[in-house]
Amino acid sequence: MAKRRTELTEKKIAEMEKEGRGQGTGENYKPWITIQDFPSSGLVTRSKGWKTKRIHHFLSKLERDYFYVLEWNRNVVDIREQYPLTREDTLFIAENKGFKHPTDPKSQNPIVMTTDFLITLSNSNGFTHVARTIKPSKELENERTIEKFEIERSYWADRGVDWGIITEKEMPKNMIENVEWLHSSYFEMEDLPSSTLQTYIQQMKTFIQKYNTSIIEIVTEFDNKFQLDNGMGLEILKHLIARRELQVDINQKIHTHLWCEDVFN
Amino acid sequence: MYGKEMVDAIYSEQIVQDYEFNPLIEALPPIFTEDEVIEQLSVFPSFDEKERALNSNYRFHCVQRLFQYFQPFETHLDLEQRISRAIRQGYLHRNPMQREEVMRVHESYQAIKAGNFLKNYQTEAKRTAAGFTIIGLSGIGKSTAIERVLSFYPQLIKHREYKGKPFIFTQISWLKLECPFDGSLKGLCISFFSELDRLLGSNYLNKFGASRNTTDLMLQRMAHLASLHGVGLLIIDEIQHLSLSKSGGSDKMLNFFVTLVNTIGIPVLMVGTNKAISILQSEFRQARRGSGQGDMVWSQMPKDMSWELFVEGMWEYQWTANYTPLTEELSDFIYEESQGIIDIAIKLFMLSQVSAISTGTEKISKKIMKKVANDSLRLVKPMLDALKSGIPSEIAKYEDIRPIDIDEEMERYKASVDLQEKIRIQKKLQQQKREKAEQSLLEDVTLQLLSMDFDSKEIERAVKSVLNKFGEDVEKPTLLKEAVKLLIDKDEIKTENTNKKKKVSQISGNYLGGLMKEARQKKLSVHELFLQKNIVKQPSEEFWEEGEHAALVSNAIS
Repeated sequence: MAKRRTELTEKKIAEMEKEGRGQGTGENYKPWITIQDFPSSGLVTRSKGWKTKRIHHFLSKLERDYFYVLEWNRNVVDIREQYPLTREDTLFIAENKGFKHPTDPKSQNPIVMTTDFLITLSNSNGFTHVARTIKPSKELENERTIEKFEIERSYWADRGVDWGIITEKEMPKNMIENVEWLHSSYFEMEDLPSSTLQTYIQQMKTFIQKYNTSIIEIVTEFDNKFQLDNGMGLEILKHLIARRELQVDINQKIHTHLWCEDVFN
Repeated sequence: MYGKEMVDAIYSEQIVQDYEFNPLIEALPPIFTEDEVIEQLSVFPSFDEKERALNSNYRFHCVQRLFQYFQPFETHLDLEQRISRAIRQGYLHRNPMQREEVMRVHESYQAIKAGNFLKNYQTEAKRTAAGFTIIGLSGIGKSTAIERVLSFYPQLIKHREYKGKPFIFTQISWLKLECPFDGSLKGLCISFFSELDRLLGSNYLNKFGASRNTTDLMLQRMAHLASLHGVGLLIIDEIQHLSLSKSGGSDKMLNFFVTLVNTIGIPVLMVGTNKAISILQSEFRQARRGSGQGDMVWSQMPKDMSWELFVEGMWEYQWTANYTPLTEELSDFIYEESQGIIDIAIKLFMLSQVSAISTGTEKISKKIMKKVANDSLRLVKPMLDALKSGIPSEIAKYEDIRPIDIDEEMERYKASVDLQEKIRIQKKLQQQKREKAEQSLLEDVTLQLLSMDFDSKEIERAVKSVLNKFGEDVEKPTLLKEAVKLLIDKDEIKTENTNKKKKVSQISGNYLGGLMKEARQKKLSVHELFLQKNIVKQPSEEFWEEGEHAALVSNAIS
């Protein structure tokens, strides 16, 4: 893990709480740890989250990969990354299990533990919460890691929230690459009134039904026909896929050289 | 039984600022206006003129409905106000959304584990919960009034999510216990545990109620549980029993109530007959001074407007063939005989009707009422005479008199009912027996399932749904098999939901560490074993509603 810029003191924790970190939902949620807390290695998705309409902060590529899986799932309605656990509770659990509570390396102050993802699901029974932690599979062999997980697990078990781990081995690679490719095209395009976009969308659907050729040829033809900037046609197509107006098998990598009829159902 | 009385929390906006952002308060029903209280407290049981024409045996049942009759008075409105305030004020500083509360729960838990007493954990805000006491003659309607008021509050409130945060909590808005007959603290603790078990389906009685446990330990646990489950108001009825206890038991129990009020902030409402006054006047009064909402003393009702209202309301319920209008003379007579004790007034009126019906007079008159008063109220007569005299020392002798056993009295009258009626009933019973012998398939299966210890309501549901699925002509073995399948599935879900033991073991123990060892023994990677145990999850298979996921798979195939 990267070094923190400042050591974590009680004062710092109080400040972080005051900033509203770890609080709020949806658009207003602020993660407990943001990439600003780490000098170099941190990832931010550049576009707004589909569910949350805010920029997400991730501390590793794996976390971002998992985020893309969640974005595609329609039952996920809110994603809160780096969700802080109540420290009194984790301290209490650690003590009862005879574990050392994680501390700040410099100040030796007990840190606020976080769970990588607190996910809100909407299904026929209403809303439920699910907690997920991301970890490279080989780190599961580390005893200290397992101790920290055990604290996390019982924390959520006490709250009746399902908790689990996800490693790189479980990541659906094709789906992630597809969603990553689609991600920025979900919201309506800048400088394009939504009525105009709707017209283009209709046209694009017609194009796909009419011409059976490769995706790249279709979108180039589209740009030409409507006198659009290069690449607009592709943006519109991606928007349609992201919005599920065009049905695809998300687990097959979408290549632009593929024939339309092989990609869209 | 479990979960029957449970409601899901609905949070409402609070008008009183102090009550905002406290899920335990926001989940309570709104603060009622006086009119709403009157409307909700009153119980006017159903009455139909046609019932007067019914056979006498049926009418004996109708007469029992008078027990439900409840006419609220000013004191009852006052009581509702006090309870409403006490519950909310008690929750005020027990907000589970605040850190202090979490800390406090943990500290008390740790204290239990270490076998210590509860520490006085003071938060910044002073705990201002207050208890109060209701003292009154037996039969004056204390318990009925309290029960009516409590019926406003759902006893169990299930919380799942509060302002976007997961908040799994079962709130018990009130808990009513009876002071044990011997006034012992252990008895009180045990009834506390068993009441919690009845409500929550928990197993506290077995866990904490063993007689080898010391009283101190039990009280400690009781305090902890009351706080853990967010008990809003603890009602201790029949506190006059405290006076019976030996060797300073009452001191101890009263001290404990004070501790509950002061340290955890749970309001305690104590209810007792006049006999309790002497206890309360001792050291307890000292301890409570300056706190609380003041005590209520309910004595006999004066013969005023409220009394008139009560008698007029009651008088409408006549199941005799002929109606007797209420005269001032009759009203005076009832007051005279009951001395303003509601319970006695109602019973006198009931028994007079029973008498009028069974003797065939079929009309209430002063004569009948007088005879009933002489026959049935003789046990309470000395007390009534004392009340009539108004001499305090005389009244004190009968402060806690045995109430009239209405069933016994009813039996006496019933015995004189026509012999023919009895024969008719006998015949009917025999006919029913014969019908029962021809049991239908449905009953047969139901009985068999009952003997397998399934819940009767669920059996009914399961059998019905199987019949719907397979049609009425289904063979018995199929019906039985399918119903059992449904019932077992249901049981499994239930045990998953109510597995309280699991929760307790979460805090100690090392589940994942244990699995890690297991993996090493089996020469598996931790990842492999975690995957088997469903700790490592498959993201592409999770959270999909069934239909959608299926669609996705079919796409993948095409």
